[in-house]
Amino acid sequence: MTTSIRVTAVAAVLSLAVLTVAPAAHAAPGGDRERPTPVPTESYHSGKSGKPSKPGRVKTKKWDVSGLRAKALTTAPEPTARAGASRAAATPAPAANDVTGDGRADLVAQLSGADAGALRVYTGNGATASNPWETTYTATPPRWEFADTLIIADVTGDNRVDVVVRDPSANNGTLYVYPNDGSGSANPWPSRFAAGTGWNIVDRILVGDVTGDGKPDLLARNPVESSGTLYVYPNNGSVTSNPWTRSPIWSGNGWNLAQMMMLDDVTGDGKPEIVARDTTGALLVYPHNGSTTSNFWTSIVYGSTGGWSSADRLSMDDVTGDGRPDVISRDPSGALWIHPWQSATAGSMWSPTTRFAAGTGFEYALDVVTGDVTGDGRPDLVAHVARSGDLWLLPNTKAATGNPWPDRVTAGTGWGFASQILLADVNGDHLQDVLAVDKRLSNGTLWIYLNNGSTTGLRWTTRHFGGTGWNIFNHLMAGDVTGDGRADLVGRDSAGDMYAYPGNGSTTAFPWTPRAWVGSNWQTATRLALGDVDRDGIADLVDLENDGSLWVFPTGASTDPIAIPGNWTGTQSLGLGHVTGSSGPDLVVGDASGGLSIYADNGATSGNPWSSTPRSGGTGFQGAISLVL
Amino acid sequence: MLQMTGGAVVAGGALAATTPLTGPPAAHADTFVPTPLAATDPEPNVERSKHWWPAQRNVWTPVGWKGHLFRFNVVYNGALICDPSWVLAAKPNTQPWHGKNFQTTVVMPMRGGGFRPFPTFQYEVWDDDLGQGKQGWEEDSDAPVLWTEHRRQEGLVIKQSVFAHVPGEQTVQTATEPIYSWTRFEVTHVDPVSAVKDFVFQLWLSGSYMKPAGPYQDEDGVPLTVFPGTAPILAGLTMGRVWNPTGKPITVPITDNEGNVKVMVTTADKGSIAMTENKVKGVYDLRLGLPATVGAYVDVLIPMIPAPLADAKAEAALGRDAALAKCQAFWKENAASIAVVDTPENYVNQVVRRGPQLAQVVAEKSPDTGLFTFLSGSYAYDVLWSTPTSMVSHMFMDRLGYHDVVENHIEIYAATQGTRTPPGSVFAGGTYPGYLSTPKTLQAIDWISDHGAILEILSVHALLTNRPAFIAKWTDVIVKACDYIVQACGLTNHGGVQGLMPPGHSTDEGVETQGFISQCFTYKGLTSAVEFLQRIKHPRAAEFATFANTFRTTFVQAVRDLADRSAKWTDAKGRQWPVFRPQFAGEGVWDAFTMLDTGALMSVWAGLMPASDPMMKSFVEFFRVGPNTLVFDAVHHNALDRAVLDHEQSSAEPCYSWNMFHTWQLGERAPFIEGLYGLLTGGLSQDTYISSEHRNAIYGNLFSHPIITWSLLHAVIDDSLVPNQLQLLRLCPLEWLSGKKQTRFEKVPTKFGPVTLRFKLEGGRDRDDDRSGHDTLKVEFSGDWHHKPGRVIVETPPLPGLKWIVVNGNRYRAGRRIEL
Repeated sequence: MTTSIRVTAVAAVLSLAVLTVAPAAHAAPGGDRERPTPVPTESYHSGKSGKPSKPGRVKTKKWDVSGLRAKALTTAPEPTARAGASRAAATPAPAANDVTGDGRADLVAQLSGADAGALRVYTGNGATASNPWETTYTATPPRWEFADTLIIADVTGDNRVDVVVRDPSANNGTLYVYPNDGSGSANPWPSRFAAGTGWNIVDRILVGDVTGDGKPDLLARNPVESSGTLYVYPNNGSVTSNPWTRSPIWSGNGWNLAQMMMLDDVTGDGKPEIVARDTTGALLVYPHNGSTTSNFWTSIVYGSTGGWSSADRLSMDDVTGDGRPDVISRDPSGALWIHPWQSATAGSMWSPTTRFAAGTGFEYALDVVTGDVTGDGRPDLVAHVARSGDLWLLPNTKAATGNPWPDRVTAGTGWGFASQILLADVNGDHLQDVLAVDKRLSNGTLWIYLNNGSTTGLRWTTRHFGGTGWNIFNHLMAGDVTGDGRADLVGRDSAGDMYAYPGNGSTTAFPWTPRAWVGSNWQTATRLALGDVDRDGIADLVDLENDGSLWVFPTGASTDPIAIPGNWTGTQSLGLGHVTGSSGPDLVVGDASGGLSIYADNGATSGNPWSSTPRSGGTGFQGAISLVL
Repeated sequence: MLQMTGGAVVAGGALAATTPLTGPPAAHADTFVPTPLAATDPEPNVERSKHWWPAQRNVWTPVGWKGHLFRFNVVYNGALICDPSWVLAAKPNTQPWHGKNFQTTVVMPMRGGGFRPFPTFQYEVWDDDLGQGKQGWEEDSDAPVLWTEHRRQEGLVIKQSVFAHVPGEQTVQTATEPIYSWTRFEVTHVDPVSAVKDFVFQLWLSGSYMKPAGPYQDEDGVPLTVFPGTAPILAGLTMGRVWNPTGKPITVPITDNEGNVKVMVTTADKGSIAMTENKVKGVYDLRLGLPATVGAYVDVLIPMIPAPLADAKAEAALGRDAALAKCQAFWKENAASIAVVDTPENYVNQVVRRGPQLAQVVAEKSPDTGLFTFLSGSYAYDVLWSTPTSMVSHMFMDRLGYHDVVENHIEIYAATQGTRTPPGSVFAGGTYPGYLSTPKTLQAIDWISDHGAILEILSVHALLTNRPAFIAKWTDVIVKACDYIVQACGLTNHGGVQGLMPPGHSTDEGVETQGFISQCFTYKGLTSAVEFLQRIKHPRAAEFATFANTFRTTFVQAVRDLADRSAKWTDAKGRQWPVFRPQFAGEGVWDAFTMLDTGALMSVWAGLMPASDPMMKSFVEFFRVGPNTLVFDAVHHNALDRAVLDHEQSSAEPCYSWNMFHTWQLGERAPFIEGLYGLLTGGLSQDTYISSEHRNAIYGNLFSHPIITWSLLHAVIDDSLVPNQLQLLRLCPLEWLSGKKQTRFEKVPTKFGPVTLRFKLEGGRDRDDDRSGHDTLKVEFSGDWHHKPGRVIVETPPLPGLKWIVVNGNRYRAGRRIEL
């Protein structure tokens, strides 16, 4: 058993300035094939078609960091000029990946801290008007580092909550059920059985008795199909093997409008409703229609008309003991709040402002869910400690030989939500900002952490909303691919198409212009990186293929791609940066053992620029989710 | 149906009811039910006649290079079919490429996004889109550039244009030189109110899967049918990774499993490209994006045979515009003998302009023989039926002065003469040194009529050109061909009419008959040969002339005998007339339509029967108003149904509208003009001028061009009506009389030599419109005689208010026959 005081220090002080629905992914040229809709824009007016409805919107706000930018422009050091650069824009770009401003690329690594992958259980204390959970927790062993989805529910029917997780790396998404053994120990979920594979095709999983047979069914949303098709997999009664093997029941399309989905009995009829937060920040309640065999949710009422956009996690449970579910929210600072049930009146079931605190410091958690783990009838809180929650900066020492990044300094904790971290100068202040993707929030939310210029403390403490829907990309890169001196975002989607969001330099609005197609057929690339290899002022693309070959695709050149000799199979990370001080970017690759190798640029612009014998860039990075130059 | 009431000259009296049928004016009539022309209707023209039928379905049009073994075919919907060896009959010289086909299909986005799935079951292509598109030729280009328009509700219009290019731009030598199609998709219009910013469409890349297939049920003859099973490219296609943040046009190859280029795309400026495999394995979705800006375009280069990367890159590097520019000289006709036809109707002019180009594309220099030949079609009938295809020479290309082309394409017949046996059991075991036939390597189905048809080619060419070299080379061939006719007609070991061409395969029916078509082509060729031999005072001319007279006498008697034993139909006056079967002996399979297309009406064209013969007149009327018309369903019929004349056009195969020679001979102006325009707009695609074999099916051929060309030329310059006499303006459509534009027929070949005729309305009141108010027709006429006609007659077009005709400065009162 591991017990500790909950971390209350907020590593990243969050100042959410933007609640706008930013155009994270504008319509593809032609708006062609079916794909997740990044930002739902269609209004559905009736449940008759089986589609969830979205009654209205909230007014959007703007992102304004002009003050920051103006300040930064007067204080930031001059960037290192790029050799041979011919720029369209007047403002030169900073040296890529140079966090410390010394002209050399630093390393930013996202690594796991203590308890990564563990479940922390905060037992319920019975309070109904104040924090209902104890401030200390009991941590399980770190067994669930692999899991990207955590649900607790009584799957086995023994009135004890079990753990349901998905392992995205096993057979395209294997679902596991960990039955609660009733031991009351620190790890009441010691064993497991599989509950099917291939679950990566869905992006939302809920568990509850929908068909009314007393057994929990599984709800799954396929975001690619018809703007989000919801299927209910009826429970087959098994408590020792996959209980969801029966044919799924189609339960409506268009569910992608739900940024968050919950399942609970809102109407008090014993049948669960779906509660969804839409893109306007409203809570929509889809009453269960009583069906036991077909689409269960065919109408809609407002649970609350808005104000919920700031929550980055939502769940439901009857904390107040009034027989109706309350809403449990986590705000961007990591604080939990209980929003008690208000009334059955449409639009007034819960209030975003009528709430009481339920603890702070939960930003470390990938998931915060509730259930009666201890069997005392009170809801307990289960927090899934994210892996790679710690961010580290490894400054470049400019050492001529050996590892240039021997030391590290903290860049904050609580980064476990981030499925990917990028470095880029978003606001044009010549300082490297952090872009962090939370793929579990609103189909992929991008957060922009502006660099505050600190040289001694944390640099990335304030974040801004960078839009939702970024999950349409399975790989994101930052770099100047337009040659205008501004950092662009480049994403690859599942079809292998790449789109660039050119940086527009705006400090008052979404900092990227609508996307433009920049490439295709990249589905065979296992790693991609941007850097100005040919030193023409525009970032080129470095591509590691699934056959182990490595290529440079010079941007704007009419020549064929440059093949980099060697077998690069096994490469786990790929980065480009001015590590050694050479004229072009050096290549930094990470292997499966966690070691980094630096291939110094040899000056070639049309042939292999990384022909030299590599030098070490350090070790121990095997667990890093993001390793950024 | 015109009841012989509207013509200025109604010779012989009308057999049918003369009360004009009332109906809406032709210009307003239309669509699915044939609407007879009323007596009060204005004379037809192109625009009016376009409304006589729904637009044809299933059109495909070849795009290629003169004489090349391979042709691209563009379907009405923009699909491009590259099939080097798809034929409805085996042709050995393309067998090495059999199955190596390719197709691109234009797939536009669906409302709401996404693209329709690739078909997985067999159905007819027109089920998707009613079978009609909007196409045309780029008129400012001598090289044939075929465009297809895609009007999109996204707020823009995409114009797809296709042309073929053979690097070097020379006449083919091997005929298998690399040939590329260049296709451009260009934004030509953007809605000013609402339009997308960017537009993405798709090309399906597949094997050819749209193929002609004929159920012959209801309205379907041989439509294009989707055969999904032929679509997959089993060996796969590959497109490399594309990285193009600059958005500048880049060239992207798509290669086959051997690394050869199937497709080379030059992307649009700020465009996009991606390729993924369709859910149907072996079919690929090539996604092409371009800004919705007028002038934005993407180019798609496709070699007929997958090209080595270096070759394809070189062609792509040339660029579409440069390639097209290089093509212009190749396609610009410079031969001095080629006629000029320039009427106030641009449609007519374009038919005359593009038709010969198409004829030279639907042709090949056979690699196995090194000889050129016309073919019967493209993507159907890519072989040679000499009988129908002969008309491309003697009624079409030679009549427009393409004499070199004709000479070049008929060499095969000299090489083949006497090498084969005629297609009839009566000929078995014999030797026929004079027999003219299709070379075995090009053969589809030989017909007995082939010999006469080929002889007609040779004789007419000699008569029209009077070229000494040709005459010197071919006279013996012609004489031997006449000998063959005498020999064949002398065979007695058959049950047909003795003294005529014996029974054999008259058509594709697979049975032996003694068909009208065999006799008519035989006699036509023979009499043209006699005319030629008489002209050169050949010692055997009289002998063959005598034989021809005997033949005709025998034929006429056979017709009368056949009439006696034929079923009868009753006209409006209660008189009974024979319904001629299309053969004198044997049993046909398709009599229901061949009685029109290959039957007794041919006798007038051949010169075997006068059009004024009551049996001929009655038989034309039979097809106009007879009992077939009561079971004719204009919407649901096909080429095998009982034939009728629909706007003077055969409802079976328009090219066999032999009634045109009746109305021409009789001077029945109204039905002749109706037929002329009917064929122009009903026998051809109104968009690309390619001919169909029968309406809505089997395109890619020139079948209807000969009768159209012959008729439109003879309407103004007629060297055929009366021996040794030239008739001018006899059946000239009123639409060609203009006060604004001089109508020009220049260097039109005749048996007397090239004739130039220009005319324009002048004088009278000053009116804005073309015709009314003018009282004078100014005519310029000249002839470059090699055999001066005995008489030259100028007829007066029946234009109201026309008082004077001024010919070469001499004023004549209109309405009188003018002899120059």
